[in-house]
Amino acid sequence: MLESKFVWITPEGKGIIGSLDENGLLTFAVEAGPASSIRGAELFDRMMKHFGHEVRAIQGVWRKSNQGRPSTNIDKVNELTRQGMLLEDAILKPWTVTQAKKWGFDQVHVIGLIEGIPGAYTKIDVLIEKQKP
Amino acid sequence: MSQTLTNADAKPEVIQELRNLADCGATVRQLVAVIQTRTGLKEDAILPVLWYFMNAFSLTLPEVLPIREWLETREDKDIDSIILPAIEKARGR
Repeated sequence: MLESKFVWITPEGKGIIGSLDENGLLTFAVEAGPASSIRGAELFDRMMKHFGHEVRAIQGVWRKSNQGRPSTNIDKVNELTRQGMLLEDAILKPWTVTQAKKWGFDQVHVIGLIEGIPGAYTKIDVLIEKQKP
Repeated sequence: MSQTLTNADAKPEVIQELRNLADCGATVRQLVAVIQTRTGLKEDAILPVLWYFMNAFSLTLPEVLPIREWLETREDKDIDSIILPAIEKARGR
């Protein structure tokens, strides 16, 4: 399998960049929100339709810097863990996981080292896979 | 080899300018400023920035993603220490 990319950028600079490596690992960056002419969920669906069954797993690279921009996924994890939810449960709730579930990817695992504390995580990497038969 | 489906072809002249500036030791902030100026997009338009870095320097999406978190910060030394060596390392691709 070749490395494959799906890039859809709107005139206002919103959109999605998806990159599928030779092992079927999908990494993507999406920017939508109120200023976007297209919804993030639609961008995600277009990307998944493009890659189809070649996707074996989705990698979530969730980061938050002290001064940086809002980050939907890690902000959600921080919101929930601040309220007392366990990290293993909170990582099931962010936007990316919700979208991935629609495509059958519902197994979420933390990979690598986490940085930060509950309510204030700054680095979480997850792998989202389909349930193994 | 790679396959790409895109609606957003990067401009060759901008790619060449980025490569020339990188050869002259430009910082990541200086490279980003060129992309923002040439595309005329708002400073928070991150995807075009990532896409130009991928195209100009043969970097992968995971390699350029740190730019997304850095863009609205002032931690220039940190991002330079990540991206500039990656550009150098990718020269042979």
